Amino acid sequence: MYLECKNISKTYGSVVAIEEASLSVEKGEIRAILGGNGSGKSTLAKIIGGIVKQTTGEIYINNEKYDVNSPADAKRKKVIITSQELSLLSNLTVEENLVLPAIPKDKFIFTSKKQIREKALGILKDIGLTEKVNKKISELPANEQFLVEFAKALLQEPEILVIDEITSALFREEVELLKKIVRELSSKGCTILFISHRMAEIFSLCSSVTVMRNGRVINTYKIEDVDEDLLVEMLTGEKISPYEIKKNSADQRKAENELLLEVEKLPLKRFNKELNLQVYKGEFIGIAGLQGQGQSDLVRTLFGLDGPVDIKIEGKAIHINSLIRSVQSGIAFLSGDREKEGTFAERSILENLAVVSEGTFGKKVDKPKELLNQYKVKYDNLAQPIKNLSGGNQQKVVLARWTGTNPKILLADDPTKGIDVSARRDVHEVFNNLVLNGSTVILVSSDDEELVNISKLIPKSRVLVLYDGEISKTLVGEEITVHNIISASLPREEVH
Amino acid sequence: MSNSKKLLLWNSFPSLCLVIVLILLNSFFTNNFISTSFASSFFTSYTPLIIVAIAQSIVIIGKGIDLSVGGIISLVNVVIVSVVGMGFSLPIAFIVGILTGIIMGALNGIVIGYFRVTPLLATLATSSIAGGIALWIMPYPGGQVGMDYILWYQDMIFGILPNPIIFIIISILIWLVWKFTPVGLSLYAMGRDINKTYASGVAVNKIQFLTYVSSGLLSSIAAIALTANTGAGDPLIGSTYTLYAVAATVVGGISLYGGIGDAFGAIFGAIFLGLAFTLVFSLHFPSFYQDLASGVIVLLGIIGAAIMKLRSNKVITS
Repeated sequence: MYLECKNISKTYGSVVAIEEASLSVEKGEIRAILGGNGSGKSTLAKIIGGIVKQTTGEIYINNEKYDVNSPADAKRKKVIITSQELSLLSNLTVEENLVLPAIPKDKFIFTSKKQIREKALGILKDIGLTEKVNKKISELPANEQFLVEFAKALLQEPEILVIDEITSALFREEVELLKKIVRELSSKGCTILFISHRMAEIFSLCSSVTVMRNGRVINTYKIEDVDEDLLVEMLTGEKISPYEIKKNSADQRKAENELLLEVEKLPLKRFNKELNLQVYKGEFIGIAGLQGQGQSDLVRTLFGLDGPVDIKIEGKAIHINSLIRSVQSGIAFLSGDREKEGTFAERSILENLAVVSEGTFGKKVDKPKELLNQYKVKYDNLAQPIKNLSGGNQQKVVLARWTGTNPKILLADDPTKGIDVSARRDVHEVFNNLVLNGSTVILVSSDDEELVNISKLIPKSRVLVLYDGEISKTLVGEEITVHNIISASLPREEVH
Repeated sequence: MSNSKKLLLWNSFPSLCLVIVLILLNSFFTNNFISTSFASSFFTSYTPLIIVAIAQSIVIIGKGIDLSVGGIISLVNVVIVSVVGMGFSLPIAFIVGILTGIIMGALNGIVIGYFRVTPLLATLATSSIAGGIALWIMPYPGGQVGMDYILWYQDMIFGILPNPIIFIIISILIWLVWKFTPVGLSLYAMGRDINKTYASGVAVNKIQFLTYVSSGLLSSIAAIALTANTGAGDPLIGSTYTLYAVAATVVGGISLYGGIGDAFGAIFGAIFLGLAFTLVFSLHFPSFYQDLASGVIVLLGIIGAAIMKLRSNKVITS
């Protein structure tokens, strides 16, 4: 065995993150690590990457004891971790970020800008981002940042590479690119631990899969010995029934013609285009498309993040010139960027939950505990800082913050990326409840399957597929399939 | 990107504009402003501030703060004067002074970089330690460094460049070593996010240590210049420099949140402060109101710099 983790445990005070986890991987193997919120898979990744130190247990590489005290130590041993908690610095350029782990020098002591450029371009060519070489990280959209994070790891020529949820923000074609690169690495003898929630990726890329739950390694399988249902069962410890298609009931049909939101000529500044949109009560709107075709722009502009807009809610014209106004008009915005636009990391769960309710509406949240339980948030007490929760649980708290104010329109910008299957399922249920109460949810998702699943859950669903800032196709009812979304996303051939 | 856009985006640009504005104002109100003798007296007075602003900017770019620079200046000042008083030559006194500054900086660096104490608290404590030792060595102002050195300091190279500028050039060289070696890139990275920089495999405690050592070294150079200006030892002489150095870095476009700015901005910021004090003096304000007037000018300067920064960002993005 090439990489062997023996009885690894990690405790934070009284909280057990990993308990007696053992794992062995062959050289050149692509091993998937699958686990839900708080299953300990990210902690395991951090231990291997030298970012945190295990409490007990040992790791061996090639039968040699692997004992590291810092990421720098791990890098010296060619063990690299690339994670959704990006290690990129937003004030530096792409090339500066890429070389940060090993900054090239010239003959003397000075930084060699020439070598930086050469190294960066070499790796950026592989991921198709050469023209972004001297852009600041802050100027890049999320998916490109994730690609750069991945490239930063590649540049360090890993012999063991841990990929922690990097694909969660990537679009389809980028995932394919990443898979291709990972396969090449593996054929050169690099051992890969691939952490992902996307079953399709695991089945198409990995040769084996280790399932973790509640800090323990449940089992390891060859990929050909398992199917999706079995894995989901293993990682949740319970059977999850597939999404059932619900029939339209009479009540929901009644609401059909009540217009909730009407927008005319909503400007998408980046594309210099305008969109019209009509949304009915009790309707779910999915927004799909290739990367950066205006999906985020649509919901962000609608919320008022891109300057004043004029909209009609329930027939009443509203001029939205500030975010307070849009929140008071019943619009909620759930960002996919938890760190920047979602949580107040250092503040308590309760404060995070209450911030909109108390801050904007001056109302106390009644029964916060019940609300959190209803959302299946796993937590110790309300006073602990939200950063101690897993990503999925954090996002549920942020969602509860908004739904507690009974919004009429929930705008969500890819909120479930990096969240495990069962937490996603909980979030989808919340969307469903909102819609049943006559609100609407407008959801941008980079995962087409997610939109298809929700449309099965919510009978009145529409998926708008965007291309270059325009709605290229609207899918309703049974038309909403992954196949149809993909084919509508692709650029249409110009006929001359 | 065109050159004019680059200039607009340069973090130090607003402070350069402020300096130009004050040069224009001073040329109306200050007698003999455009002259080598004014330049000489200006740099004689403000060289220590300019150098200590460079020191502070290195630390602040790395998201730290060094409240001990003033204390270190006082300590190095009395050390130099005392060593001279013991009969040693001036170069030996300078070497002892510089070593003192480096040791104080290393103390900050160890406490902050390796024992993970908050910079604000750590340097507040070491500031008292440095100031306390200075008072212990020399309870009352006194001693002297010799007329030759004082006269040299007030002299000019080829009758044009004031000699104090040599100290500024040495200090700029120290900054340039940071800027153009790998530690500089790590410094900016660390200033933005120390955890991410650590996860990237950078030895952040070493970088932090080096910022405080550099700050101590530069503070001792500032003290050497200051000693020439006053000619004597004074255990309290450095106390005003700490916050003026922070003010200079802020005017100079260096973010107190770290990771943004350049020491040249801090140099402009320090020159701006010097010119503001000169202007207030030239306008013959009654001495009671001089603090008020210079405070208002500094506040206007900071607001002006912030507005210019916002404007230029808008120009670029639109």
